[in-house]
Amino acid sequence: MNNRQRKFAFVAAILFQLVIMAGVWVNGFYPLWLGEEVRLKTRPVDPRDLFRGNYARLHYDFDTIEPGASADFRPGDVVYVPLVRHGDLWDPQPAQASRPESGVFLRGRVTSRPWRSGSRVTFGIEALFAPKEKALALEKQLRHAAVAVVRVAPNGRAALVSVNSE
Amino acid sequence: MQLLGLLRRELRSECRQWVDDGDISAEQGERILARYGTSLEDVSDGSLAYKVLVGVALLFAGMAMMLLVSANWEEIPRAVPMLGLVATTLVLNGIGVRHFLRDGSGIGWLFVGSISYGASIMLIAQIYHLGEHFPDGLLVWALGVAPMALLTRSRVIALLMLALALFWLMAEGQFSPPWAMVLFLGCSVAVARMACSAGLMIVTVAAAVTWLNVLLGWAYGYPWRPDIEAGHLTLNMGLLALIFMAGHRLSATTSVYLRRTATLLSLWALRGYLLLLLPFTFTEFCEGYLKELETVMDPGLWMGLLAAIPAAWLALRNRSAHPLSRGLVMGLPLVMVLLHGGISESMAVPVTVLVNLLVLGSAIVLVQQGLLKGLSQYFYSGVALLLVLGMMRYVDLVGDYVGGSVLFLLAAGILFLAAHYWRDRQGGAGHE
Repeated sequence: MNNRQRKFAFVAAILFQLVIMAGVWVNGFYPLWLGEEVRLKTRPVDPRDLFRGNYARLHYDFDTIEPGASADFRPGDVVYVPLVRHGDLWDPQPAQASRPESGVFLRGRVTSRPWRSGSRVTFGIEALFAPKEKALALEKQLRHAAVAVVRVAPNGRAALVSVNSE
Repeated sequence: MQLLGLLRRELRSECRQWVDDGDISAEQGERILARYGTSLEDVSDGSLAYKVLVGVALLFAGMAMMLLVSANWEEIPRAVPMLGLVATTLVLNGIGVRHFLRDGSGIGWLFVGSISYGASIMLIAQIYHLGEHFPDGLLVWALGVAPMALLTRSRVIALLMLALALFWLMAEGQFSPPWAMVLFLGCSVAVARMACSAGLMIVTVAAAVTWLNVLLGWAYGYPWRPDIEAGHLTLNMGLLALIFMAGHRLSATTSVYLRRTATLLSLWALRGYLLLLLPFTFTEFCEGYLKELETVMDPGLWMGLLAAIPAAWLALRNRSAHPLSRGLVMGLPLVMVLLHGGISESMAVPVTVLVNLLVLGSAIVLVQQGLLKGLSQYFYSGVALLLVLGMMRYVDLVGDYVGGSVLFLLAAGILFLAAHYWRDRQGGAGHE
């Protein structure tokens, strides 16, 4: 490899990193840009993450597939949770394997095998990053009555906007 | 085996002393050191301390950057820290590339640039609260570092990539079979070859062994999760045999770095073999292993055979290894099939006795080879193995008191015969 080709290869390597960073950004940003806003009941727990800083982990009623239905889903499977509006809040419907033809729905991924309490599903809206004190305070204040404001893109990808009291 | 080649710094220092004292000429000193890929003029000792300190300083700088990112700068608009970190990554990598293309330096800049790149990914994930599948962050971090490692042929950047890939392997391995690891292993081997680095090659082999164990776990638990089964021991028997024989095969090469790799591979395979054998000297462990083993359809057996059969072929062709180790490696595929297909848990006691005798034989060979070839590591490993075996058998009897006593008598007899054989051989050699 001569010097010119080497230079080109290095530029390509740096561009590759830039494309990955842009991809991660677009993946996080486009539901905020294109999505519809929904409000979902949640419970913040477990702040702290070694790599990504402090955060409050958010639990939702729909992040576990019931034991009866969970046998149909394997880890890694994509699941869809349709949402139905009831006043200010949106209620989750039972998870399904096929994409709903209409309406607002969340797209998630099964991350555990079926167990007594069912299978765990993640939707990309489980982590609210905040300073340690704020994350701990959120956990205490909002333990029983919190609402996650989420924007959901037409394909079901969701992005967390904020967490408020009910 | 060039165990002395692993102590090049000490060897260089000793050799300089011999030359200064007039015990050997400088030319002789150079010839001795050339056998181990070094020379009297090698000044890497001083620069090594510099490199290590700078390396740790850069790592600390990278960690400082990660902590700053983790501090959640909520008061600052989102775009500012994100664009700041992306720009920092570009600047660091730009300076690094410029230095590297000019005179081959700049690895430090690129190393910190690679950490800054990872910090940028984490920051973007933090700003947008991305928490769906965190191993993906580690995967794209390692993917972005891989081309830099290949282009610079840098061991440090390759080690960073491999460390990230291993973190990803452990994290992703819980959710799905981590196939992408093959990319990082290939990249690491390529850098190790281009940089002539025995250390990186050994770390890559260790990472490959870990990866194969995770894959076997998935073969057992697919599609739900990776399971740890008795067949993992069978796989590791085969892998150790292959690594050991590959080490012997490579030791014949003229390349100094490959000879050093071969020495390290053989040494660590030997240590692994001894560690693997010791639990099998306990009846309960042997019984549990034989009970848990699945039939000949066990994926652990088939993956183990994929390693053990080439190892047996290498043992058949390579006569440089000791006859006991060659015999064990050649017979391993048959032993593995027998363990999975023909031996039931009711035969645990005879199998345990055989393994105890095998450990005894291995210890005797290690002591003998240690003395014969002047390899102190072998000698002391053999002595330590004998003492550990004696202590374990005294605490944990095989076949009650009478059985334990018979085993000790048998061991004493074998040791006595080996000692006499050794003395007679030494005497014979003295007369010649």
